[in-house]
Amino acid sequence: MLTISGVSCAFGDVTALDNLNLRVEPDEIVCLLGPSGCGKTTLLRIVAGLITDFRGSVYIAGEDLRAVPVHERGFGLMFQDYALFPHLTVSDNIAYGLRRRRLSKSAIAERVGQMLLRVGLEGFGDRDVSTLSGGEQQRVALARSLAPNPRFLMLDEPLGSLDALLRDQLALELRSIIKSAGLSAIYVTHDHREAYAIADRIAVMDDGAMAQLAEPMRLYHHPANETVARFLGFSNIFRFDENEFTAELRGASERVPAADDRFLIHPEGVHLGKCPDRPAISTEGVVESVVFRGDHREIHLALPEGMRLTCKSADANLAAGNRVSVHVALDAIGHFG
Amino acid sequence: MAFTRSRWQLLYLVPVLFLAAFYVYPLLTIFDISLRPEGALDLSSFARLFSSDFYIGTLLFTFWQALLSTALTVMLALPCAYVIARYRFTGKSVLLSLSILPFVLPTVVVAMAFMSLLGKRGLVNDLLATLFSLDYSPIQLERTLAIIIIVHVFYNFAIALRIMAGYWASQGLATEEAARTLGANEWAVWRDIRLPMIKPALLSAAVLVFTFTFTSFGVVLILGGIRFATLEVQIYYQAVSIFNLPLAAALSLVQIVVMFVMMVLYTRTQRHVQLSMRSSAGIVKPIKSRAERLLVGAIVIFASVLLFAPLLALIARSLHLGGALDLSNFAALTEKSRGSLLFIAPLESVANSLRFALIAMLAALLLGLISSFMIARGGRLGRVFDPLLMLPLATSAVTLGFGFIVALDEPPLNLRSTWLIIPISHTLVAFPFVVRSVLPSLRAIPPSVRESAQVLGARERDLLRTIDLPLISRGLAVGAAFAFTVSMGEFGASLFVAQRESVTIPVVIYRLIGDPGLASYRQALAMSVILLLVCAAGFLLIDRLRVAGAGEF
Amino acid sequence: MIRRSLILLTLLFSVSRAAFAQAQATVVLVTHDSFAASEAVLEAFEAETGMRLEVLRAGDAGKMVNQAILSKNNPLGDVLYGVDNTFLSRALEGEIFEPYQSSALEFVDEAFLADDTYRVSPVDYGDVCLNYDIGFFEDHELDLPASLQDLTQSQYERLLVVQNPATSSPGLAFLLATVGAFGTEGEYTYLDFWEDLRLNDVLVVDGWSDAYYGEFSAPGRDTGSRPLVVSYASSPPAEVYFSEDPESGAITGAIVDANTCFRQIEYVGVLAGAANPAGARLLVDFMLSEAFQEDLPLNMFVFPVRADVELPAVFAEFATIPEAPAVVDPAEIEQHREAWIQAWTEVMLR
Repeated sequence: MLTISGVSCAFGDVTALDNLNLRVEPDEIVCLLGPSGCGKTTLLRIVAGLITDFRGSVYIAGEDLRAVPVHERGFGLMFQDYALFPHLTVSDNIAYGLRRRRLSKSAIAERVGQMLLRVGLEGFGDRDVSTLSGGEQQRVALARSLAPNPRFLMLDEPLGSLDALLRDQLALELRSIIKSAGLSAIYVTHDHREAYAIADRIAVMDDGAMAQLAEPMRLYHHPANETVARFLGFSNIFRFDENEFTAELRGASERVPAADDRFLIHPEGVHLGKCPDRPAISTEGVVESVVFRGDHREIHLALPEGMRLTCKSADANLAAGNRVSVHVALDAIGHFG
Repeated sequence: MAFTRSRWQLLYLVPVLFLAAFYVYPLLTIFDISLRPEGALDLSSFARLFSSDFYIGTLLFTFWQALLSTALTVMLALPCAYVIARYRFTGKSVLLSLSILPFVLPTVVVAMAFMSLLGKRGLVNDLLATLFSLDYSPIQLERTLAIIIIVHVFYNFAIALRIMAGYWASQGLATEEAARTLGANEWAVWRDIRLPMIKPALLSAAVLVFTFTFTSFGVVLILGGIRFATLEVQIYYQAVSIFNLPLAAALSLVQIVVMFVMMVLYTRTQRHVQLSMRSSAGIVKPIKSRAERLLVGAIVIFASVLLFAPLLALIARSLHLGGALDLSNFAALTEKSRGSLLFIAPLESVANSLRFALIAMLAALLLGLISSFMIARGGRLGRVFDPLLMLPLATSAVTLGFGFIVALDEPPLNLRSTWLIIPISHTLVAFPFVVRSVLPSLRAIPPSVRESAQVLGARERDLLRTIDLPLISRGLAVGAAFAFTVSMGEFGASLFVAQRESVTIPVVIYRLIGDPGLASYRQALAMSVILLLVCAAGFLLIDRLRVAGAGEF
Repeated sequence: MIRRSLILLTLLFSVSRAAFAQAQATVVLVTHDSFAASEAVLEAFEAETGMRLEVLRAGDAGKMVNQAILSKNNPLGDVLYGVDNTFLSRALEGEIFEPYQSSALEFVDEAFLADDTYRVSPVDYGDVCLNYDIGFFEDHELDLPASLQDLTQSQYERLLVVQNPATSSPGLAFLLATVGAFGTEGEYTYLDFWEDLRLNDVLVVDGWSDAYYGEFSAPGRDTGSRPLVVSYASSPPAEVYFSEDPESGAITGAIVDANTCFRQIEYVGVLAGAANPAGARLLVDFMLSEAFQEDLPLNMFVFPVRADVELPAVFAEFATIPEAPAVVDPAEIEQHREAWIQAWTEVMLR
């Protein structure tokens, strides 16, 4: 569907993108995930045609986009701050792209009605956009970008300015709306939980380059390197030659990795107290602190030789200072690469 | 002693009292004398006004020429404002600073400049005649409506340019980009996004330009000749030549009422401007493509020609009138020619002008600052005050001057014949400019910024010093430049002032032009050039002082 | 910053207070913008009387008279100088003057006296006349017009520039000259004359400087093309006096034939309610003194009313004084000014 190959882009001396490649398949949602400044918005703007000063090429369905101006690409772009037209009503905002395609009045009215219905804003058509709440504005922005039946959709941190509750709910809605419209899309975010929920594949970007491109499950279990892992929120990252315990973990691995390899321990694979009924390596530790997270507790442990480990537990009786036995399941060990 | 918030609000009295003492009181006094000559109200002048085709015609012409001038000024300034707001190019800030220069020149001088450029035997006609070997002058603009409009555009271009460029620079590009991704081409982006977005600033600029052209006096009188007369010209004629004060007062009142309606509209649009200025900062881009270079180049050249060609023609004439390059006119200005002219050497008038301009600027800044706070944070009081303080711009100078003479004649306000009346009258006209420049930046300061400073222990006066003033400094600088200009260029002819103390550059120019003999005429040109240079230096200095923020102008 | 500005303003006000404190020893002369006199002459007055002379200027003559009338209950100064015969009637009716008969009036021709109760005294006069470009008339071997009527002949078509009487003092004076020459009633009135002038393509501009520097064709200007202009009888000597090469002689001349000029006489008077009436009378005497009268020509380009003072060389050589200017009574002027200008406007703009 969309093919980005060898794209590089610089602003003055700052390199924003460095030889980037990416394919988006039909009906696929690809998330661009990365910290701010990693180049994901730049990539989006190149695809949209808002940035023309770059090297490399962008194709859609075999068509080179280099010479196609923004307004002739027929893409949809949903902006981070929505960029609604403040001087137009909700309906007029949604109808804007349809009017550019010179559809008949009745066709426009019908399509606007459909879109309002689809994003759950029936009856909001005549409202001024400045009177809407954040969530409502977001829906208008989505409806506006979907209304002209774009051949490709781009969303730039569309949930960024919403509160957490709304974000979770809207992420699901967004995915179902995009899927039901049968669209391919690039979705930019810096929140890995949002990316897991929405994406078919996730492209983690780091400093203008592609760090890893994978399905959400695979990404979670096998982050390509430490940077990706840290960005996905993992903190239990060690080297096999760090101490006796890590050496023991290495020895128990199926294929023996190099001694100075780094690896991560998924927190849900760490069990306290009772040994789990799957292969595990055990040691002793002291609870340093307990953070209440609602449905679970986050436990920070101090293991021998200064090693620090984070895990989850449902046990309400754990408190700082408790000595506990720690079991690390072998399938919780994640190898990089 | 700790100043509480309400104590600070006592300062609001300063501009209110200033306007009351130096505008409302003199104006009411002269209206009282004019319309109640025998103690009974006599409104027959109004009857005469509205039953006469001549005066209705004058009113209509005044409207018509102001509308034409405004539309043309705004239309021409629009693309220039866009280019200034969106593109980075060398000389941009200088162009913007010097664009107010025309504002400072006395009408007589501007008329001379335009005549030497576009007159029957002016530069352009000479050029065209030589190029196409014509034996007549192809451009015949003398004493036409066209030349009035052209000079109005020349005078007011900077106001429209600065208001719109400042506003545009504060707007982000996101909506434009959204429209593009939805299929809007360049033309549709202009029609659907840029024009609707700039509308509030465009209206503000339009109303301000309309005010200036509606009350136009010298331009219409000198360049238009006898066929054209605005209300302001009629007021002058009735008040000075005929001494028909009732009719002059009636005309003045009509003018003030019309302008008050405009001011209410104007201050309304201003509130919209400031609200939307909170959006994200705009983006200035370098010039990349060939098309962009052509566009920016063409627009910048157009603006420069419009603004500076007449000024350059003036300078050229002052240097070599009649053929040879000659600097003696400038040298002569340092001498006290004939031991008598105005009692001082013309160059000493520069010191006088600078003194008045500095005083007027400081006073205008002080009053303008307080007024801006009052309008932005004073609730209802501010809303009522806002359109009122613009009225001095709309009041006939001769009416107000007569008001000064009769009203300010007793202690404590026995000011009518001291030099103080000059900076006071300048301040009256200048401080609305400061308000218009400062208000948007002031309104754009989010409450949270001040609140967080308060939480960190800032008292009201610390807030002023550490938050408000730094954030509005650019607006203040722009306001200061306008106040300085207004004062430097003001002739103040309607005031009685002690001669020795009050001879300013424009007075010397008028005086020299009024003397027969070519040498005086050349010295008048040389003096105009000095006025230009002093003001240009002033603007560049003031622009240096500004830090950050945005102003309307 | 606010506090500093307040201090500054307070200072400014106290400075102006100090200026008022000296008011006792001062005599205040109220005059128009064109007033000029040699510093040495004015200093001599101050030395003689021990009083300080303060000069207040107030725009053009019309504006000055109007402001003096408006402020007559609390006059701006002690002496008003510069009201001319076109505004005299308004000033006298406005009752702004106190009678004073200066002893120096014995040196003044009685023809200049306008008020037999001596509320005003004449100081100087100047004639508004046609000026011509000598070079143009020589080059084209054209005769000078000898009367106003001649201006309507075809050889003078498109040669004359005049000023709008509604906005220009010499413009009004020239209109009055035509009123004096042709009258307002009869077979051929001043309006008929103007109609003919219009048909002969006269150019009307707003002010004297536009006409004299912008349209007049005398050498040195680069835009003017008309060799006849309404100006003053004193303009030709002034042209010489200010020219870069005074030795080269006259380049312009004035036409002073009978009934072609209008004489403007400027008067001085003691303001009623003056704070310093004694000083005021001394100042009037001074303005009629030989020293001041001699100083007038080269400062304001007018002629002194005293026939016994000597004219500067450049005036003696290049100035011509009309012997029979057109005459219109000041009271008539005040009464009909608006109507005449209005009628003129209608003829010229039709």
